[in-house]
Formats: sequence, C-alpha cells, structure tokens
Amino acid sequence: MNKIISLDEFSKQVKDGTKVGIGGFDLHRKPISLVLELSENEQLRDLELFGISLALEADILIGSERAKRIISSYTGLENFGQCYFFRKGVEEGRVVPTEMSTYATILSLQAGALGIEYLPSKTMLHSDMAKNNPLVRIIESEFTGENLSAIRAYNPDIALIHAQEADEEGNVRIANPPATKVDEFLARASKKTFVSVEKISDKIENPNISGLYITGVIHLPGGSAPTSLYPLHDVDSVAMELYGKGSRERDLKYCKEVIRNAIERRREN
Amino acid sequence: MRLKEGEKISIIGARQLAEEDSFFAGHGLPVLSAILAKKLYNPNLKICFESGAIYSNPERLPHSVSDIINYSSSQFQLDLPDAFAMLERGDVDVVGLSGAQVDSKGNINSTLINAGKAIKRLPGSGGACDFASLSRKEYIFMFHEPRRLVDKVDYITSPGLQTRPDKEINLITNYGVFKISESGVEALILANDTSPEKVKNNAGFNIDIKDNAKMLEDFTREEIELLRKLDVYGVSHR
Repeated sequence: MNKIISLDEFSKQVKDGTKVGIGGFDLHRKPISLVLELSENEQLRDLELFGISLALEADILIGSERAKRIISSYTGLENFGQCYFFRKGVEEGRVVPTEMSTYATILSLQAGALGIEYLPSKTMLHSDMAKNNPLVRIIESEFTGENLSAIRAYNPDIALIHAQEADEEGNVRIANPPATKVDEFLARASKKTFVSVEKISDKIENPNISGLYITGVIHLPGGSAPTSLYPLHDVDSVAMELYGKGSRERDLKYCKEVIRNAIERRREN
Repeated sequence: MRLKEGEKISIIGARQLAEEDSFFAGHGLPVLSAILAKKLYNPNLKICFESGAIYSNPERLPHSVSDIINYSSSQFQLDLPDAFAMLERGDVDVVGLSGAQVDSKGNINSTLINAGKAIKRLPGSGGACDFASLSRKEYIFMFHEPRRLVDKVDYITSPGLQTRPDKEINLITNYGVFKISESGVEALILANDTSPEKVKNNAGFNIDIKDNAKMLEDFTREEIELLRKLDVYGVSHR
C-alpha cells in the first residue's frame, strides 16, 4: 500500500482536542514543517502536545492558539533562549502543563508502545511534579516493598516525526543519534503516525521504524529546520537566535517567517 | 584578570571533579566544568550526557543537550532510554545539575517562581529530576544569591537528601563549596574574595563556617583562558 500523502491530506487528520505526540528531542530532528502546517489551520483548537523535550515547535503552536495542554519535561531553546509563547500561556492560565522528568516521558511512551498500563522507576519520587499528575502514581513494589513511581502509558492520537528517508510502505530510516529509539516508541504508542522525510527511497531494509506503524509519509525536504538533522545539518544557530528574539517579543509573524526561511535555506543546501 | 561570577563557579566546579570517575553532566555550568576538568585535571573523566553520548570529550561547550559534538567526540553512542537506564541501574551515580533555586535540603527548583500572586514560569526539569532522583552523589551549580539559595524552594523539581540515606550533595557557588547534609549546610572551601558575612548574608539558610574550612587556591591564567575558549555560548558570562 502506498502511504505517500500530501501535506493537505495530513492536515485533515488533526482535529480539535487531538493528542499530538511530537518526535525528535530537544533541538534535534523536530517535525517543524508539519507543525507549521497545523499552526496555519485557523479552525484548529485545544490540541494536547506531548514531547520528551519541547522547543520552538510547541512554542509556535501555543503562540498560534492551537494548543491547550502540554506534557513535557522541558520547553525552551537551550542556549538560544526561552519559549515565551509557552511561558506566557502557562502564566496566564491559557495552557495547562503536566510536569514530567525526561526519563518519565520516555517511560510513558515505552509503556504506550508495549501496550501495558505503566512502567515503574525511582525517578520523580519526592518531586512536586508527581503531585496531582495524571501520568504518575507512587506505588509500593510487590517484591521489595519500596516506593516506586508508576509512570502511566501515554498513547497519542497522532504522532509527528521527521526523518531522513522513508519508502512507499512507510518504512523509516533515521540516521542515529539521538532519539531514534524514542521515536520508535512514539510511533508504536500512537494511533496514527505521520512522518515527513527529506527523501522518498526505494525499499528500505532494516528500518528504524517499521512501516507497520506508519500511517502516512509526506515528502518535505528541510522539514526539521532550524533544528538539527545529523549527520548533515547542525542546528541553524542564526535562525535559533532570531527565533529566540522573536519569541521574547512575542512576534508570531516574525517567528514563523524565521522558521520558513530556515526551512528554505536548508532545502537549497 | 577579573572573573565573572559564572566563571568562578565553573572553575571551582572543575577542580571538584578532579577525583571523579564518571559523571552525568547537566546542561550549562555543569557540563562546562566537566569539560574544563577533563582537559586540565582529570583526562580520564568519563563525561556522560542524557541524550546517550557516553564517555564524551567535546571540544567546546555544546549548544544543547542534543548537540552532535557530544556524540562525535564520545566513545559510545547510545540513545536516550539507555542513558537514563544507566542512572537507574547505578552504572553511573555522580551527576551535576543546576536550576533557579536550591534549599538547605538540596531540593532544586527549575519549574516556576512564585512572584506574589503571579507565577514566573521556567522551562522545566528536563533530565534534572532524573539526575537527582537516581544518583548517589550530586554537584549542584548555583550563583550565591539570596533569591537562589533559599530557605524553601517554591517548587521541588529535583528532590535532595530524601532520595536516599547515603546521598552526598555538594553545592558549588561563586563563593566556594558547601556540603549539604542532614546536619545542615557547611562550608568546605571558601573563595578568597569572599567573607563569612557575604557567604551567610547571601543565603536564605544558615551556612556553618568552621575553622577547618579551606581557602580556595587562586584561579590560574591557564584555567581562565581555557574556560573562555570553551564557553562559546557565554553561559558563564555573568
């Protein structure tokens, strides 16, 4: 079955209130083009965003008033600044955050991928993040009696991933590292997974993510800029700096312009 | 040479890491200290990153946890789940982290600041809570200011002493090194440009300064020059 679809076909799959799992990690391999497309859909409201560590992709969806909830361990731009649309959204109560540690978000997706209720860990015990958290319960080990955090499975309605290449059947190749494993968890945990790629290839052997878990493939070269796409592309530092400034002034039009230009530049390279 | 306060923290931190074996480095000052320590005092220091870059040797400060320089210079390239599993298993049990506030129990806040009726939102835990929850020994990097060294943190993002009975916590500030334990906070090393008054008045909790507290040796030209070369993003520039 040919899974290659258009950006427009993808866009129609995302409805109000959809739980959107965002692939990549930190400033690496984020599905920026797919997110930009959702940000342009004026009708779309109340998305729930989930990510291991989120950055400008979450900021832009919040700035465009598409997202109401955010589940993540971190939302920022690392050395390039902060996500001010996110920050103001939370401060003003328009966006409701669920606080997680990085490992907890990973375990949440892993449990989702395994089809089990939760995975236990000693992380987040004694942290305020575990209080009133719908994804965390403190439990007692049946074996040792010790306290453990039960990190509840999270299953997004839709996952967005950017990768180097995929074939028609949806088999995905991601050049390591990082976050290849978590993106595989994400694809398996999600009801539908859409992947944007630099290149459509002939049959991919030994894929990082099996086509079994992929709903649609969209050909969008440069689609992770200005975040990195190793080994070919480091973070576009110039664009990240500009985005950081734009976000601080909460100039959405400017921020989107910076992103579009970064995608265009990478496409030409 | 006049040093910025963040530079002092980084160098003091690097000296503390001279005897460590392996070290999970949090972003910002902890990783800057670790790189400096590896180059000057401890070439065998095994620097690990949560992204899965294990036994790494970056040539400069990375721009983020996911910077490729961490991988391209590392002996082993794992992925995120494997890196955190190393902490949970106890393969590596020494970590470095920072945040916006720390209290006398070693609790760290990197989530939100209560500003009267309003809150000021911060980026969040990242891997810091995992580092704190799953380690035996912790280095906390913090500016020595009353708004950061507080009696009680506004929010416990990364828990301190309560995580395990044998927990060791060393607080590294621009004024020195301070041991955080159940019996209180005690000065181990004091910077030579500070005073007991400055140390105490700029902290929201009591700091015990005994006669056996050591004085910090002068910062060397080599330390300062190398630090400035490594810190291409200026995280220590304040």
